[in-house]
Amino acid sequence: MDFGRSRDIISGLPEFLISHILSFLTTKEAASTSVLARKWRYLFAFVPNLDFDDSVHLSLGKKNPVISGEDYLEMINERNNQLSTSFMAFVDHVLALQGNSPLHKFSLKFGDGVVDRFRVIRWILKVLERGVSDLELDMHLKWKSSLPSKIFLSETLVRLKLSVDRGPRIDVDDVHLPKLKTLHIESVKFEQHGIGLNKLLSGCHILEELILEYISWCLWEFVSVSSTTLKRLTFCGELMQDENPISVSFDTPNLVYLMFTDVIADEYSKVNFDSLVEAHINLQMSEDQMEEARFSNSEGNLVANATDFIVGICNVKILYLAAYTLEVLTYCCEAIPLFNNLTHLTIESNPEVAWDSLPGLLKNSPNLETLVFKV
Amino acid sequence: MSSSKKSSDGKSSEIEEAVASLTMPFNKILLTSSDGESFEIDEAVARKFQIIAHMIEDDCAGKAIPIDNVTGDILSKIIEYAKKHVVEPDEDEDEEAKKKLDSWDAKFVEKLDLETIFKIILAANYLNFEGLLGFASQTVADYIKDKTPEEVREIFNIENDFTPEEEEAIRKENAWTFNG
Repeated sequence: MDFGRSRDIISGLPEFLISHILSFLTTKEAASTSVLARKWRYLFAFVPNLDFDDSVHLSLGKKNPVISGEDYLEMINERNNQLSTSFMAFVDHVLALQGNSPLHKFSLKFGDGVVDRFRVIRWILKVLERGVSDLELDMHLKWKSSLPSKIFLSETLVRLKLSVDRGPRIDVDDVHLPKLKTLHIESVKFEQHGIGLNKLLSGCHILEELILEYISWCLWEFVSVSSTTLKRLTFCGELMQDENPISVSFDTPNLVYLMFTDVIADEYSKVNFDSLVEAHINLQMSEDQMEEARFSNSEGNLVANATDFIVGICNVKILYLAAYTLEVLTYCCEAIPLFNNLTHLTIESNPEVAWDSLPGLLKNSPNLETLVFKV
Repeated sequence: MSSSKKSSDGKSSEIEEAVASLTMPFNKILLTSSDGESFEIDEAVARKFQIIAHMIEDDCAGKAIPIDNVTGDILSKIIEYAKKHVVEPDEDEDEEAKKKLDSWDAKFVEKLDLETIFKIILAANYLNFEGLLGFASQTVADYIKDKTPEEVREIFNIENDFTPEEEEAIRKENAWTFNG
């Protein structure tokens, strides 16, 4: 190929290579190329990864001092509705252009504004039909019914991320996700919380990574994670509420990596981390428990009991402890177990939190090579 | 890496190959560009090009492989990149190494003009060198990102062959893209 100095080289590339370049942009950025020249009008639609993000709306700019607060809000609403309408039209347009071609990734994010629930369901069903392997739904909207159950029966999904805070429930009946390797759940509402999660996990036979975020203990009574294939787990209970989880259980014998943030549960019915290599632990007492521990506990009784959990992680090689977790070791642990395999320990330090348990922990880590204090 | 220019003539490349298989050190492969430049590289590096990896697997590689669609200057750059990326550092296990490599990649592409980058994209696609194809494509995508269509046309010398009415219609068709 002979390229002159000011020739338009990019338009001469094979279409699949142009689409490949566009796949490194968001769908919105790629779609702006539709107006470059005739050849480019539909090229952006050949990208097998789609992400539609309507969650960020530009402000209206400088507030006109003459408009009242109410009118301004109405203007914002009007504009948001217009944007939602054009957003839905855009998604329809791109999906129509793509027809039934194979689809790799589909990500849909929206927040405020009016979104037609039926259209959204149609989109989700369409992409499932096309064999999508990576599905991300980030929808925070008042939505009375549940997510389409077909999501949980996909033969092609490898990665699923659901963040549907104020949105639809997950009503899990049948779950069959034979290819799912990564599941990311952020503030979802199951029909029945702990049970719903169990049902979901039981249908994932090759799951390797599970991320559970913003588990609200007002709603969940118990959490139980059981999987022989799971290698990585990130678990974040909501900390700001003054509730302790009732029951937490982990039966994950092949887990290698754990990132854990939560308030101490009343009961740890099972803690099987036999293969755990690396753990990041931010286990805390509730506010009431902290007060009791620090100020009113004169008899030295355990304020809460995290022993089972701490014993469960004692085989790790690499450990990161949040400041509050040191406190847990002091006030909520019957005895600090032996951390025989521990070679690398990082402690987060906080002047408000006591280090009483640290000498005992170090004494029980006979093979420690590296100690890091994070300020 | 040794590079030598030879005349690109069918018969001499046969002889080249025969000589190469007798005199080449073990685990080295000789690649010859379309304009006759030769590059002796380790088999591990050559395997970054899937098309060559398959030839090696199927045992039809021989020791000298002609790369008909790629000129010497471009092949040289591709080999330079391949050598640096023979082993890809794991982001989790070796953050330092990954940062260093990213920094090298940035410097590598900084010196290249768009025309060269496109030639690299075509060649990387031909050789089936996924890593470099992705990296070069990302680089071009970065030129498009956050730019108005007018700016993009300017950078790539794209002629706008729409009538104003057509352009207006497309902007309407994709309204959310342009107004959101």
